[in-house]
Amino acid sequence: MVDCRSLIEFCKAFEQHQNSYQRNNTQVHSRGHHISNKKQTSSLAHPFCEHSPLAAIDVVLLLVVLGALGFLTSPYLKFVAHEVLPIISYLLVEAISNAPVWYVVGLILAFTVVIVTIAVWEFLDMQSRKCGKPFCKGLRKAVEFDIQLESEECVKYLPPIPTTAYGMKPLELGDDHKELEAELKRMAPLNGRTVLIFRAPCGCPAGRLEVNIGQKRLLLTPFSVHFPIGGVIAVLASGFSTGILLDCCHVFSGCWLCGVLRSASVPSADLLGIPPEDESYYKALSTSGAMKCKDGSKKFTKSQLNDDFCDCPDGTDEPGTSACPDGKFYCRNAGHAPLFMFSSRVNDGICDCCDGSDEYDGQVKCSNTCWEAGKVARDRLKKKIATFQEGVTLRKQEIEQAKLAIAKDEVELSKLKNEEKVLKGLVEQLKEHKEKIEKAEEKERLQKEKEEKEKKEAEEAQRKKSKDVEEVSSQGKPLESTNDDHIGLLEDSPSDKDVVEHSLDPVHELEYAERSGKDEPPINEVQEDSAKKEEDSSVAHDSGSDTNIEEKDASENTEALSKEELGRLVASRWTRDNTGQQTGEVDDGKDDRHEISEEAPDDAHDEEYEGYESESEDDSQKYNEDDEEEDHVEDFEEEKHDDFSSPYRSVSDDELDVSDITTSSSSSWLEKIQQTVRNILQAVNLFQTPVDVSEAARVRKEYDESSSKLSKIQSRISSLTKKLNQDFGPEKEFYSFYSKCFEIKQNKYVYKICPFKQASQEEGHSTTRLGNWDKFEDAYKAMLFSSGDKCWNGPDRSLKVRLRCGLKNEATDVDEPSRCEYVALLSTPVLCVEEKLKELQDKLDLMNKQQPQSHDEL
Amino acid sequence: MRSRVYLLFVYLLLFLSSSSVSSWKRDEFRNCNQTPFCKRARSRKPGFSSLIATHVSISDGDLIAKLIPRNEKDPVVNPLILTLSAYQDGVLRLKIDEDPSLDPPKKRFEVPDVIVPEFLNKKLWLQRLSEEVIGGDSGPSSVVYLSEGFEAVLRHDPFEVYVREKEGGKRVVSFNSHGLFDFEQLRVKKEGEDWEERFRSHTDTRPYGPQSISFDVSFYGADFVYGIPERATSLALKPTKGPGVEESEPYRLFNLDVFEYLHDSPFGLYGSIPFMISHGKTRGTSGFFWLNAAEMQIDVLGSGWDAEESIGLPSDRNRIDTLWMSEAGVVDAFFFVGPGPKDVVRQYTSVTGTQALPQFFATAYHQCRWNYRDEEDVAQVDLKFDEHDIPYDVLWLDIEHTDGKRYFTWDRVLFPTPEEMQKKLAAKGRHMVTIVDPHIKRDESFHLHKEATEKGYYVKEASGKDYEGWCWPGSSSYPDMLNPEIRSWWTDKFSYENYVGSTPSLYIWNDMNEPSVFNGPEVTMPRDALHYGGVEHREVHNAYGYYFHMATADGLVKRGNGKDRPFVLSRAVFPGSQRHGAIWTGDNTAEWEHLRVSVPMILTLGLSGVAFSGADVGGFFGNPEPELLVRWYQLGAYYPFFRAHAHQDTKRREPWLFGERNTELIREAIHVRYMLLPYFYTLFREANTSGVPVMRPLWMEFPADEATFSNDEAFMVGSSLLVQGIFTERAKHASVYLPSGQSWYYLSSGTTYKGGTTHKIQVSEDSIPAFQRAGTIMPRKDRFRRSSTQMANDPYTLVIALNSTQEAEGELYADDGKSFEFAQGAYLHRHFVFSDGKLTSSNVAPYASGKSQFSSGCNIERIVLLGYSGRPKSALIEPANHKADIEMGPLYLRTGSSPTVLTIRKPNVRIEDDWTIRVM
Repeated sequence: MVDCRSLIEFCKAFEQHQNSYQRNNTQVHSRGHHISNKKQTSSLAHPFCEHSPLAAIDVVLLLVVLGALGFLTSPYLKFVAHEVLPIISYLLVEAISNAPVWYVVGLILAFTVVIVTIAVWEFLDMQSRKCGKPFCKGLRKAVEFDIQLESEECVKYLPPIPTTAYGMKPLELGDDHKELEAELKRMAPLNGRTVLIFRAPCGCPAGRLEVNIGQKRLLLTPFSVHFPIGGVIAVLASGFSTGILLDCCHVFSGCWLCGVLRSASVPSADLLGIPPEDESYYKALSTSGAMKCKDGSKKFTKSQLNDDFCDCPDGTDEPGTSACPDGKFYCRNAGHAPLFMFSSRVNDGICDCCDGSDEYDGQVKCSNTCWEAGKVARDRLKKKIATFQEGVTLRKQEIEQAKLAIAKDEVELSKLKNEEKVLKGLVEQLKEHKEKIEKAEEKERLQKEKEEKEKKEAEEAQRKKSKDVEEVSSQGKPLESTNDDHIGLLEDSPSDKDVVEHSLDPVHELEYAERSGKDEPPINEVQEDSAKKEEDSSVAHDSGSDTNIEEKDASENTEALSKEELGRLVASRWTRDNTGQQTGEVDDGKDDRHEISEEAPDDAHDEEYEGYESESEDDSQKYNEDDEEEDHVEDFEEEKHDDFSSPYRSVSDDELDVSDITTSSSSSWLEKIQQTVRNILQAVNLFQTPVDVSEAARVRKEYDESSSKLSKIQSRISSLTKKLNQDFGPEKEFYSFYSKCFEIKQNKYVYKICPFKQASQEEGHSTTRLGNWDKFEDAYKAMLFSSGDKCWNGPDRSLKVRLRCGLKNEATDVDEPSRCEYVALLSTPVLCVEEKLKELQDKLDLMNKQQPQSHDEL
Repeated sequence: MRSRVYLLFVYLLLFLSSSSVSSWKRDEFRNCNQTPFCKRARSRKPGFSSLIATHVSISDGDLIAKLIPRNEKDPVVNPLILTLSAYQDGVLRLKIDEDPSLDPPKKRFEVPDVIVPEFLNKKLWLQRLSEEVIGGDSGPSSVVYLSEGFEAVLRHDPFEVYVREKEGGKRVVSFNSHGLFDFEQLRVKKEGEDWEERFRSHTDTRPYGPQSISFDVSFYGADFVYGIPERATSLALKPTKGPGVEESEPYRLFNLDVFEYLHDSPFGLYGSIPFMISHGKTRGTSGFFWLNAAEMQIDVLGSGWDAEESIGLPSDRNRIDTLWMSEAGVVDAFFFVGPGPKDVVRQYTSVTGTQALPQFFATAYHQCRWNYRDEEDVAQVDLKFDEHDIPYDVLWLDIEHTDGKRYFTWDRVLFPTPEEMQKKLAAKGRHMVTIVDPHIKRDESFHLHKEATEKGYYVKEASGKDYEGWCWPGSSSYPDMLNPEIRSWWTDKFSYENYVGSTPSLYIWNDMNEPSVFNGPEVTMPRDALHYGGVEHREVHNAYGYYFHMATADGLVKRGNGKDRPFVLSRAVFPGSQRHGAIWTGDNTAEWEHLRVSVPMILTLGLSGVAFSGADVGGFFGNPEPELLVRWYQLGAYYPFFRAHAHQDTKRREPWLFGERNTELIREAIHVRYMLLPYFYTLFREANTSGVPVMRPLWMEFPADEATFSNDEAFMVGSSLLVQGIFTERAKHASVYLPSGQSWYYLSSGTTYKGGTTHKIQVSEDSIPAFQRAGTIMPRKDRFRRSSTQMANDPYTLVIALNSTQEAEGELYADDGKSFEFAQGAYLHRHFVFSDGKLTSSNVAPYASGKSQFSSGCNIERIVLLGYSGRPKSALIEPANHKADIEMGPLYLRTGSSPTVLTIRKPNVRIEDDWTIRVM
């Protein structure tokens, strides 16, 4: 199918207007500013096309004027009719009667002259305007022209037009000529040509300009068209050259029809698929004749450019066709963002470019949707920019705060370290003191014992003697005995160790709690274990009796199963699903079965896992006995949730009860302790015997307290050090994440992401660890949690949290694109980087630049 | 109690440590010794049969005889009726059944709707038989005409049937030469007889008692035997019994859903085609096919198996004996005389039908996974293919797309707008496939189940009530596809009205149609389940999936008003499956050995008529290393059916997930397929007309080259292309045997290699070795589109690989790629010949009677000349009488260092015209 219709046809009437001619001419010379000039052009063009709304008034006025004229002229007409006509008729009669022959001859002669003159005039006029179309009434002072794009086939297979044919007169356009020629060349299809035909008012060709691709064939002779076509073409051509054809349509919308071109802008064939930045590269082709492919592999000539045959494997010679698999096609997409596409998309019957320029072989018609799509894109971009703008500020604040906080932490750390030092000294002293006291007490005790013994003996002896003495001694006894007890207790174990251990206990507990949040909760573990064991025993009880557990061949046991059980069991091989002997429910979230269900070793094992599995779902009553612990865990977790809002409360570290050693009052408490210790040390007289009991208790208490404080400080130091050693990003912008957890609920699962710690997936009471904090990835654009719970037949679970700019810290999406590999989205101001903002703004500027200016008016 | 728990733990650990070794549960499946008929048949000694043929006559164009015991005291109850018929093109059919006039308790099952009706029209009406006494026989033999050059012989005593060459009387294939024939006749159960068979927890009532059939078949002049799919083992069948065979287990033909099957195992998998081909250097090729749908076991007997009881057969060193045993049915056997490999395949497919011509898109690349989760996932995957410029044609949805595994429904949460989704794919010329399995969820609210129950369309238990098995949806029942009425009912389910959410771009996948029943004996249906006409499942088992496949394909034809070619992929396979669609080799594993075994598996299917088959690229179970995946794509691009698939527990493995380099390699592999699509489609047409498979063993193209006979690492795609798989990690070299006769052009470089030797070829990660045979012309399309749909109007490239005499030829077939119009002649079929420096294109297609025409606007954009001596500058194209340049151009249009070759630039001749291009 060869379609030789002219692809683009302009058929326009144009009033000859000297002014516009000149204006347009100036425009050609300053094409760089054509857009600004266009407005003027349009204002000039409009008067010819305007319709006056006051036409009716005009008509009325006209009638009135005519009426007045009639009234004024009537006396003169009357005079002529009555006075002048009779005189003329009298004179005529006189002349005819005198020389009748000469009169007739003269009359005929005069008539002939007039008629011949008119005929000659008319003939010439017709020649110039009707060009052989006798019935054409012509449009006086109007002009038409065609631009025909003739494809290769047309050029080859259509008979050539004889040069003698009317209107084959070649054109000379003077200064504009080169410009015009270049523009026409751009439009020419592959191996085809562009023909510009200027038409006289009846549509007859008055001159033509042919531009061939390949060999140049320009027929040029003096410019003989008497209307200012050059300017018009120039405007058109400039429209083409920038791809803003819609503008052209608009500019002349009063009088011009752009027809076909509105649906899709067809870039010129030469430059088809070439990005603007490469245009100059390809322009070299017209001068040098042949040039190298970009990869240097081969050479190609101008005729090989976009000739639908791949000469350069890298696609250099075929930017506009699908001939090279590795080529790229550039769509201008005026009104939207330009696009590079795989050249395999060219003429494949699918509209890919919003301007439709990728489909030009006529298989499909693509409408130009760039404006709409571009608007959407720009709006989206604008919104994004707005977010970024705000986000950048938030980010700055964040960084500031992080800096402060870190400084604070560092100060605290050094302070704590100092305190630790001091306290250590004090504790040492107290310990020493305490030991001394203890020694003294011991001594005293021994002595007392001895004394007592003696006393007792004496008492025995005395009892009989006197009862008064007895009363005295019994008064002092209770006090002594309490002391005794206490000392005895200390004696039983190495005293200092015991105390330290004791004082550490709360810390241990806290650590324990912390760990339970981090890893597989130990409490749960315990529960599970016990539950498992219970299940084990029950299973053993259930099936053990009739199942020969000595059987090594597990599958043998399927015989013992019911039909349904067997079905589930076999199905489970493919699905790793719960064979569901008890529940039959499929639990996607938990994969702890590992290889078990797959292998179906024997019933006992299988059922055991069954129990393990189902405990999380149905057998909640099993938790009853552990309810307390369960509650505990939940409480703990709730605390964590509360922390979300307060960014500077760390989740677990600050959980430590350090209220009495908080930095704000640290100096005072330390001083107080120091003071107290000093007092004690001074007060306690070691050499005083017997030891002052209250003094000794004070020393011990003080020792206990300060060593417990010391250990608290030490643990705080270690957690602070740990924290400060984390990678918070180049500007420490992720600092606040340390104490945050993010949650997102999806279907039945709640996903919990605690940066620098761990991530988990929770469903009811069951928690699956998705991973422990690993590191930042992709230049701090993603957080990675790895080595989570193992997946059946798969990898350890892992979670990648992609970060994106947003005004709030929140998890927005979570997904499991690959088995047990999770991906979450987290929006945070931290990602609102200034460079990116600038990039976006540039992009928007670019997009705005490319959109047609006057589009809104359309 | 506590110690018990402890013990369990120990077992658990023990199990975990040993379980990885054997995941295939051998014990869940019967071996021969656990199968009474197999055990009995195998224990018989040669010469067991005492039958002789009597009352030999010609009747209705057939040779008829009665088989009776030689001695009347022998325990055969009734005489058997033997019928021998001859068909055109050298096919002999042998039927042996009980005498219906003697009122057997039940008519034995003969498999309906497998033999194509046209075959029956090819019957030769035998006119006369001649009797002669052959060799040292005491009695006579009856000889009838079979074809030019071959005769069929019925030896009366002992009874034996064989085909021989007319000249010289050399035997080709023989039946019962070792007297192992046995035919257990149906009986009525007597008091106290226990016919039940138990296997594991299942009991088979066997109401008709033992009814098995066994016999021996010998192939003469054979070096190897091939065929009898489906199993994961070598192409040439190894002996299963005889001296030197250690683990003696026959090849089993029983359609089973085997979880994590092992490579290199004689165990039968999802399909059964009891068709065996023998091939030898001296005599050529012959074949034997037993149309029987019951469980079958086949022994390939190693030479010397009968050493003790030698029975003086004509001495033939290259004879291969086989023992065929089946649980039920009749003897309906076909002998194929060859003599060439393609002749045998043609003869076989004349009986069971040739490969249905697939739609063009179906020959391209398919992307599958269990499961693409939801519409967003589908859109994402689709988009990513475009982003990475990787073409694909079909996106597949596995069972999870349904509403609770109710087929023909959609999970409306995950797939709220299935039509939209399909339309979006269709807008890019892409198609979708959804799964429809035969198990129907027993759910009163499921219309299909309700209807099937009401109409009594389910397979019944022995007791008469609907059989219930367990499969994906839970408790399920199975429509009785043996019944043509039920098949017809099933076909209606695919109409757009009935299958809500389906569009014209949706096609179907039949999985689990062995049938797979999770809680049935050996993961299938009990043998005593009852089908239409009182047929026991044991009799029809192997064909169940075939009928299901057939009904589904018919449904798609009906949906498109007979205008749209169906595409249905089936896992179960039976003789004739090729008429209904494609087959894949089931749930393989992501291991190198599974990659290796995929080649003999597909070759064997191809030899058995199933030309459109493939293996899951990447391996279904497990996670392939990127290298394995890439190699699998590189090999899979040459599978007739090219689909990637993965288990739901595996990591995602779409082509772009393994780094840029691997993406590139996979893209390249897929591009190779798309480039060769015109060639593949031409081969599919060849398979459609002649039965010759697309992917062929080397010996099919080089029947005289002994070195190729057992080669199953390399294969031919058509007659022009040899492909060598790479089956090892980090392979640097590959030993490639190139068959003798011609030289070969390395596909990616154009380098020449001599034929007849083994080359040690350097292997890169870019591609696997592939060679174009000298003397061939391959049509290509070198523009890569999003899918094959967009390639319809793209120009062709011809690659001419010249032989030593500077000649080559090739073919191209093209049609609309969709409809059945080609059957009315709407296609173009060109024959290209290059000789005397001149390429000529001529029409192969007989000018159609004007019914319908196919016209292609495609041009030839380039012609590559490999091995041309001389440096021509231009080419003259006639009759257009214009010139085209000849220059050095790239062999492949890709960046990088493609070698340059002699190229005729832009001849721009139309593919459908006659023309000549003269190289000057």
